[in-house]
Amino acid sequence: MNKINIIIHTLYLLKSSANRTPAIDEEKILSEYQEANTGKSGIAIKALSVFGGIAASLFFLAFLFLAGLYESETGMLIFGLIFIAASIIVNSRFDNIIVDTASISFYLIGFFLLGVGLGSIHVNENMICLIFVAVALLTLIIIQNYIFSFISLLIINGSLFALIIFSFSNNMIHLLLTMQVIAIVYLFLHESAFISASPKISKLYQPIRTGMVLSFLCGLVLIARKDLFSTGSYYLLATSIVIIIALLYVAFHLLVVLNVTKPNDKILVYGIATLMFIPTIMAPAISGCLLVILLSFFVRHRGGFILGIGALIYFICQYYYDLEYSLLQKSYFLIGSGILFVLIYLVTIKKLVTNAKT
Amino acid sequence: MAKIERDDIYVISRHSDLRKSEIHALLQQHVYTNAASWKKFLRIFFMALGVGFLVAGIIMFFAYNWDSLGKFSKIGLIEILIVITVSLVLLTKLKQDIKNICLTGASVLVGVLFAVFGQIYQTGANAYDFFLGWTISITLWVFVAGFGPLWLIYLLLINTTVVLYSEQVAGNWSTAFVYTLIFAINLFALVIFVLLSESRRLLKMPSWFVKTLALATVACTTIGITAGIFGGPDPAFYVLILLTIISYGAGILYSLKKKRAFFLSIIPFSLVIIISDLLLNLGSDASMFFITFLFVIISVTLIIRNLISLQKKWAVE
Repeated sequence: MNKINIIIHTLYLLKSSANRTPAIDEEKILSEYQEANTGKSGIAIKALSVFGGIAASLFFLAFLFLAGLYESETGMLIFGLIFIAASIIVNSRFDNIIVDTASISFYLIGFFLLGVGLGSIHVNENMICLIFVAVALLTLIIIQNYIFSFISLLIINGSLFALIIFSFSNNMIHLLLTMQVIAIVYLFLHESAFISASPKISKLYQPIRTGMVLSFLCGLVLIARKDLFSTGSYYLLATSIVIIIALLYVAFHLLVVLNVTKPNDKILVYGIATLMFIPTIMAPAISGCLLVILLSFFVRHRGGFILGIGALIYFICQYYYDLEYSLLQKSYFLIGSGILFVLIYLVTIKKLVTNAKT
Repeated sequence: MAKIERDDIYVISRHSDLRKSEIHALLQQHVYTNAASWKKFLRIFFMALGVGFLVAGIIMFFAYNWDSLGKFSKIGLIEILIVITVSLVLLTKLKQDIKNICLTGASVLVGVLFAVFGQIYQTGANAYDFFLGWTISITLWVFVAGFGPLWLIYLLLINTTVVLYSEQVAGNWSTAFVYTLIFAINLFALVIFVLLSESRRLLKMPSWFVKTLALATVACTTIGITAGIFGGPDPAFYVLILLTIISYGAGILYSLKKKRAFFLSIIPFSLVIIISDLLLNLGSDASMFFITFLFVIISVTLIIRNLISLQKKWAVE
């Protein structure tokens, strides 16, 4: 059975549901699948656009600098703004995947020129970050193209991280991470609310979700690398607690899916979850990755899942590498955690089997 | 068979007055993870973490190089651990995926055994024969388990052995020759796994494994050819080019026949990088960078256009 037949079948089921008959414009839906070049693209095409766009913009910047065009400060500023505006206009008029690579590369070049231009007329770094955030936000409001929204969201979060670094207020990163945790949990668990909202928001939802996950994991790298970026340990603990509360909240939703209803079983699950996080209470990066992995698996967000697993392995290695114990003490610690996980495995298996029987 | 995916629900929602709860029900029915998948995931997740941490702890323990532990007890201890792990696989009624995780743990422990041997007898921890011994010792397990992560470790070991051999023993191998050799080995593995993925046999590998291997293989030849273009002439370089042309051609024909977009995006992208290298090798003045910029934009746009029209065609068929 091909895609169109499946869609027709699903629409039929929706219409014949017992409660009510929703109004469905069948013709428009089916025509979306027959139109050329406007359809949804897979991850391979998106990756091609992004990598192609980044590579092209690097070549263009090399050209600009070799040609000596960087000497004019106002020139760069003006060209930067023109490039950003042009790429947004082109994309809003021909919103299809074909123009993505060209327009995203001009968009990136525009930001680079704007930054260098503003810097050379001595605008303060913090101000440049705020201008970047404003321009990227404006982009999100004007166009809802996937790649543009994704890149704009990365620019917003990247500028906020840069703002924290430039203004030497390292501890502020915990506030940003806390806000990101809340945003991510809300985004993942309320997908239907975003889909049923206005068309603009429904189109922005997916790139923003992926962009938030990537930004959050990058933020976790900053707090995991104590040699690069130091923050107060109380703040670290606070972020950790926020993430653990978020994890328990996800576990609460998971219990519904797994149909765990007995109070004893619920206590067991929360107990196991808490037990797992105690050894890493001072390493919110690890629990943050777990949060991303669980949420991504929950809604089957493949990109987030793969990123989360990769980041988890990295953060665990980093954590044990940084621990100020001898190798022997570290080894006891690791073996202890290993035994704990095997025990959790045994308990879960038993519980899952008995649940399946009843 | 095609099924309802996330994007389809977005399309349906855009042209209907479906309520939030109705969309949620659709998502839950067609997209979100169900209870059975969660159970499988949690089982594998906890076991993988358990075995991972245990093995990491064991590695740290032996890296500490405890003086009060004699040669005999050190090697004996690891051997006992290996025997226990393998017995778990052979003698228990655990699920297949859990057994595979245990066998992967045992395979890493074999590496620890060789490393401790090297530590005691001062043969060095990065000698190529250490990796060769490790690779050969776990071969049987790798084939029997047919487990993606274990195969990945195995291929990584083979590649490491070849690179170390070229550095430590065969002093006069050129860079181009090493790249050609590694490319040929991984290409061979890739062809076998792609062919296996067509059959319905037991040795069928998950698609993430085949894709990872394909990505590594394409990256290997792309880097090799880039190094060759900017380096001096070398007979092995021409072999690499010939092998790349044949394999890329075969890869594209295969993807067109089997309607797979993956190879059709990584192979052309690799070609874009290679041609950009050629352009920049002609001259590195400003105008050449501008031409390369134009080339990348136009070629990537054309690749995407073709991919999209192909996917449209496949979707209707």
